[in-house]
Amino acid sequence: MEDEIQLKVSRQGDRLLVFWRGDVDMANVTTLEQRTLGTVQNSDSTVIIDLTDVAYLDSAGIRSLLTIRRRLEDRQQQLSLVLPDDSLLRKALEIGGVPSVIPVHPSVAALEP
Amino acid sequence: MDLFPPASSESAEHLRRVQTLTDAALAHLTVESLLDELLTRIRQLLRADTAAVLLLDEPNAELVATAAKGIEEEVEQGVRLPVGGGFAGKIAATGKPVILDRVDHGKVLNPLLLKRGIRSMLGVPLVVGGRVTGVLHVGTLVPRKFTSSDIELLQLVADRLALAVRARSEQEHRVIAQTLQRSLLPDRFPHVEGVAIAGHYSPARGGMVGGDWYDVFLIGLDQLCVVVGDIAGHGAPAAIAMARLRNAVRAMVFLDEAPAKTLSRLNDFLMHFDPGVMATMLLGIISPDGTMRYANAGHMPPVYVDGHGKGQVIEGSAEPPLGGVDFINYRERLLNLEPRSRLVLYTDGLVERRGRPLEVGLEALRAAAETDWTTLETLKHRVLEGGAGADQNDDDLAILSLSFGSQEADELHTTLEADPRELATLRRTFRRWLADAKADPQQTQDILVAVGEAVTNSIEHAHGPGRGLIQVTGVNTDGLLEITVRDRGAWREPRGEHRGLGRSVMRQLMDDVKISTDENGTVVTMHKRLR
Repeated sequence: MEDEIQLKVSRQGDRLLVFWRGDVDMANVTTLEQRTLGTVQNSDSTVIIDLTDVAYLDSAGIRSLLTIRRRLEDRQQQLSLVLPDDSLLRKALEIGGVPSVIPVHPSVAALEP
Repeated sequence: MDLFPPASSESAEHLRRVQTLTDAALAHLTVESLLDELLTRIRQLLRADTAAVLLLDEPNAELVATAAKGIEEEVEQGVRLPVGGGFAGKIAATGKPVILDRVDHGKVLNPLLLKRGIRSMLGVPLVVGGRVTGVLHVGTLVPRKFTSSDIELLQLVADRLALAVRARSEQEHRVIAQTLQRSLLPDRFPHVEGVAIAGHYSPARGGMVGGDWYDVFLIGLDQLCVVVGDIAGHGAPAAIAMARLRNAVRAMVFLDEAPAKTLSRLNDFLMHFDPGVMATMLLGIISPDGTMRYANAGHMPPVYVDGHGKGQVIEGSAEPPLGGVDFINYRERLLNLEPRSRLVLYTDGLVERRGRPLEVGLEALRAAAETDWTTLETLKHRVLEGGAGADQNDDDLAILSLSFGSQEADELHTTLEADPRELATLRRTFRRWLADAKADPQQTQDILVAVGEAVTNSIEHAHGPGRGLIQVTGVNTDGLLEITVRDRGAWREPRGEHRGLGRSVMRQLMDDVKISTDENGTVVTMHKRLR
């Protein structure tokens, strides 16, 4: 359901911050992916998806993150994820090999140069 | 020249008469109204003063007056005439029409006809499938010569009546037997903590019921009595005999909770009150300590699936059926019912097929009982398919199953539409269940994702464009969770990139994952130990 997931965007210079909030599953992942990519501008060099407030994410979400990364890579843009160290999502993301291809930071603050 | 001369007035009249009798409107009448209507019409057409139908009472070889016009007293007085003698009796005996131009005492036995002053009579038999089922006759108060055309018309009516009467009596028998049979099977089962009970009955091909039945009831607070039996024979007589026996079982077990002794007494009971009735029966009494004491009078052996899912046919030395031999002492047997075991009791219709050894049917049942079946309907189909390739039972059959849980078993059963919007609801249901099971937050997350993967796959690939149903169950046995996701499709990983991701996520989040696909669909079974 649409109300299961919310998306918020903020921009810091050439960094685009996208907050996902709620459950990510097959029902909303396509919309979420399109909306996320839709907010990206050519001037953005890095896109950061913050998963701190995501309560549920399975392989549909993992596939979507990997797709977003490839799309951005095609446009020479980078994708990073924000995920607290104690996140319950970490295990599934690791099984899906996400940290090996997308940099994962424990907080937005940790990304500060 | 006139190419189409008008039909002669005689044949036109004949045609009109036939139409009167084959009027389509008659098809909607009940048998009683049809008898009434046709007798009225034939009396008018043949200008007769009386018309009557007598139906054959086969066991007594008598004809019973069932409907009449002009001599209604015949029916009111319930006139019965012997087959063989007299006018109607001769028609019934020979199956041929009889004409009496002059009625006299020697030829007519029915006093009412003589009293009424009937002079001439014509009668024809009611015949179905070559068998006489009754007699239809007309009579006149003035002397009359009946013609072959009159015989033809009367026979037309008789044929029509014979079919209607036969159809009604068959229908009545079937309905009586079915109603009785259904009323005798328990429509709900006693609630016993940790025991799931299911029953199934199917009539034989063509809807014919037989004498198979099952019964489950509580004695006292916690003794569960289970019965499966089979009375030889079919239709209403078998159903009636079964009703008597079922009530006798209930009464006897109520007085004495001893299965073997009860069967011995039931044998005496049948020999005394219902000589000629034979029945097989398995009678068991299950105690809360997980034991079943039972006795078996010539019935099919129980099939037991132990707590590890291994099935076996519990064979024992055969003992005679009830009602076969005087004074039998049945043997009491004992079966230990492990936690998470299942017991299947059934009648021979499930495992016996013409031209197939019984062992093959029993093995098909044993193997099917080991599989994951949720309904007895499914189990039945697996046995029938696994056995003779027949998809339908020739004989009627009854199945009773009991599933035993452990004390801590806490189950979740839910069914959802193959629709992505159901996923969120399913997660809420699982979160509650996992909280009750005291899963920690990471375990909860892992299980939610694993279940989500299995259900997502079912939604995406199992059903294609059509909607289907997905069954999800969870069983918590002392902290070991078993979760199954069942659908009617084939497991298929998404195409393209990241193939196998869902499966690999499931496998790594759970302790073990088994995916099996057969013609009925896909079942994903996974376990996770919480502590």
